[in-house]
Amino acid sequence: MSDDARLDALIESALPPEPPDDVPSRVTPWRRAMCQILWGIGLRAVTFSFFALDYILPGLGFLLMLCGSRTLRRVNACFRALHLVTALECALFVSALAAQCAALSPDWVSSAVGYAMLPMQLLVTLLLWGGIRGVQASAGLEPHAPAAIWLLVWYLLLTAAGLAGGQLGWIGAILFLGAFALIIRSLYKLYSALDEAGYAVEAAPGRISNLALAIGVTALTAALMLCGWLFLSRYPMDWQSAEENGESAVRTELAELGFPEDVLADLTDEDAARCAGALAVYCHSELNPVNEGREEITRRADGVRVQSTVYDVKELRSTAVAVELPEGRWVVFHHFRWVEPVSFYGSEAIKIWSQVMDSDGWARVGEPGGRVLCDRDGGTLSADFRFLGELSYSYESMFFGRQEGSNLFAAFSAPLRAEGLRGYVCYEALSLEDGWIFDSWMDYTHQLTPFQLPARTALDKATQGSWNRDGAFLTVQTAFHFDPGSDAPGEIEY
Amino acid sequence: MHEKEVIELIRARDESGVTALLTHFGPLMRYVIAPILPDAADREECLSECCMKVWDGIGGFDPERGGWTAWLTAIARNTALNRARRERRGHASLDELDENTPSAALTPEEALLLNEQRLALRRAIEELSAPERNLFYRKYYYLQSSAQIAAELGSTVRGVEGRLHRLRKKLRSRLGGERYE
Repeated sequence: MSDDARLDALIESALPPEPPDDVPSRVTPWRRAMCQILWGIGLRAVTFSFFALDYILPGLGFLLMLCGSRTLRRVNACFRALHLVTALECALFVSALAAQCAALSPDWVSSAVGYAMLPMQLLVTLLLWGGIRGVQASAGLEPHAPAAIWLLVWYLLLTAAGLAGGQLGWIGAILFLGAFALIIRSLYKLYSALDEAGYAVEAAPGRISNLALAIGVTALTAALMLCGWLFLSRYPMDWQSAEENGESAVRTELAELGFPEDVLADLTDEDAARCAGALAVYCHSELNPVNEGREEITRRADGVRVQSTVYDVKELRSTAVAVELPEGRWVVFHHFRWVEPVSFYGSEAIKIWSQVMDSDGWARVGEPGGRVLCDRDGGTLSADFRFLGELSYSYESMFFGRQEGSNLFAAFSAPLRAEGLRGYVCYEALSLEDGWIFDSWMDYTHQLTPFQLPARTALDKATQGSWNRDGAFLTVQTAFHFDPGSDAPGEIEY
Repeated sequence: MHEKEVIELIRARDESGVTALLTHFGPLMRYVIAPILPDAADREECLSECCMKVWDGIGGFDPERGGWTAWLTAIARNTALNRARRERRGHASLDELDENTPSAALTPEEALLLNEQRLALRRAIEELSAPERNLFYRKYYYLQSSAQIAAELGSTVRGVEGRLHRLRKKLRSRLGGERYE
């Protein structure tokens, strides 16, 4: 007798007359699959908006539902339809997730998928109800699964509370939590709905295991998300070799008035020509850190410990230039230059805001101008901004509530490892009354990482009142202000 | 209907108890019988036999000693196994037994050793993790095929056989005897 046969004989003779009490309840054809479906339904109803749990938990829920419904797909027509709907939902969820990683995808894509999935959620519950009743009927039992119908009711309530939550305030929140608690209760009751009839279920075999399926779907999702982050979050830019500068007379004139030469070199001829006949040049330059620095604790002479943020590297040089022209006309330039190597993911944005756009003393006139430049293989490339113009927007301010504004914005994408990336935005202003201080601010929003969910462009962030570190973005600000009546032209020091 | 009501009806010798037993626990018994008896007609006869055994043996059911489902599945399994063995013996009796077939009787030493091995195996089974123990009972107690186990656990036949192979290896190493190393 072989060792294997001997072990088999020993096992047969050593088996107890009855299995341990916990074994029969676990050796069933349906319990595992139902458990997966019900956990899946529960997880997809959860909406915790932190640590990306609002994506991870529903995603896990869809995977569990897919695995569970796959096992039961040959039981009856309802379970078969349940499996198809779940597979479709899973595909929609993966598409929505991929779309949310693509900052350039239109918002309606995610919204449309979300709305399409809403009725499917209800359909899944209905099919589960039909499937359970079908199993009970085929086993000769009276069809009875009211918990599934209650689940449907609570889902409707949850959806209504979610949609109207903003208007209902705390009543909406209570309704939401109440409906969620009742969903959990219904799921718990549904768990035992197949206790007797479930043994009649015949589990469907699969070519691959649930684990392999889950790994496959997760890997596909991760690949699509990566594509969204890396390839669909950057603006297509038309980079061309920068032409030699012309307008030498104007440029010479401006240089003599103190116009910073590195900024002057980056201006297009058209923008340099705006400054013909310049009377005076005011400018201000500063180096800003576009990193979060490090915390340092020092002890003052009086023994008090002081915590401060130290920036070892300052990557962005911002230069603002105001050129005074005859008849109260001004041309304002906001120039930036990356002086340290950084990586450019997704997009960058510039917001220009000023009294010029919001006071009685000044008025902005004409069309704004500007461009971006970078160095490559010893040459210089230049491109127009992907967006340059005025945008009206509203956002929620932590201190002042809902705010509305209209400012000048520019947006662009840079090559991942762009060298010497620089650019500027310029606009023309008209002084309407004497005595007004001139000010103009530049908020530069830089994307620090490609990984963000939902993905947004720097322009989206800039129009949402984003400040300092906000998700994947960091915004730095440069102020430029002086009194044309009393301050002397040249470098303005604060 | 709750199991207690079914048990009470059968204990009260109320024949509706058998109907209730078939309605509420028939699917369970069929599930246990199916892997052991491939023939559908055999299965139905076996189910009737199981009902008779439950009817006759309800006095032997003690909830203190074990659960109703475990007791019922034990009856269904044993009845099906006996039926399968009878079937096999029926076929075997048609053939002449070889006069040289050695006696299956064990010597006292062999019987003692076998008993010790059984005890060691039972201890090893108890020490298995819950998923391993469930797999063990599916395969060796309920005699389910690897294909059935794979379908019910959302795995593949190859995956189940791999797990069973590792399980047997574990049991062998826990038994410790040279024969099983």
